[in-house]
Amino acid sequence: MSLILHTRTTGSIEILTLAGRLVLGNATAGLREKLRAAAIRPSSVLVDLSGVTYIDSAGLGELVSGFNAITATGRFMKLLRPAQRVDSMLHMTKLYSTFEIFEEETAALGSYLR
Amino acid sequence: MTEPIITELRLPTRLGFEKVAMNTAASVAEIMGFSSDRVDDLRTAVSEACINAIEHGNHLNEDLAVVVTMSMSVESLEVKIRDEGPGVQGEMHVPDIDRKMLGEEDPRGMGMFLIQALVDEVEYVTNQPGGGSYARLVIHLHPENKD
Repeated sequence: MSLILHTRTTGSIEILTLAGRLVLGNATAGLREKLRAAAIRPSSVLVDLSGVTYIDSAGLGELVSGFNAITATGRFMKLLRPAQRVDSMLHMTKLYSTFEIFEEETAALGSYLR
Repeated sequence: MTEPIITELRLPTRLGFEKVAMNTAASVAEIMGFSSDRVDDLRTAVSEACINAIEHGNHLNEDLAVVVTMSMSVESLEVKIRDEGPGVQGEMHVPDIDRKMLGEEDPRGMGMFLIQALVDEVEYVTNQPGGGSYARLVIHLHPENKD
């Protein structure tokens, strides 16, 4: 299954829900396009990774790149519910302690208000 | 089984074909009885190594090939990913996550770091006779028994 991206907005937060395989190619290109578009809008971003079944180094790199683009404009990008395999890769690369990661959407959305 | 059982693939230098190698390596590992977590680890490591071979070894030159050789023995599975190009697959770089998050380092470039974390042994050999280099990845069925 290729990557399916879905965007919805709650207040000033864009929630980007990913489902499928986040790997080098169309999937990373699609995510890059979404995150770059988000970076020029005035909202912060929450990336829901609960439906991502597989991620490779290019997928991780795209998350880092999106984070850089969005935080450079003074806004935030946080992650929600990484599925088991993604969680393990975030730990392995030590990105887990660098990204703000939430298990509950309500808690994640509340964190942008602090 | 004393002699290793060999499975070999010759892949075109085109991104996407790493999937053929990763799925074949995963099938061999499943046949050998590796757990699903270990199979997934191998799948990722083989994919990353093939992408390195395609991008950095063969420099995306479609006239060249990537040869993936899987040697299945009683206790371990060795996967050798060989390119034919002038590039070097094995320039180990430990990613600096803080620098990446600050945009001071290329956000990609975590592949080799992942490979090292996912398999039991990794070796990179460059300057092969006739050119090219290879990555050799090994996973053991019982890594705790390994010397």
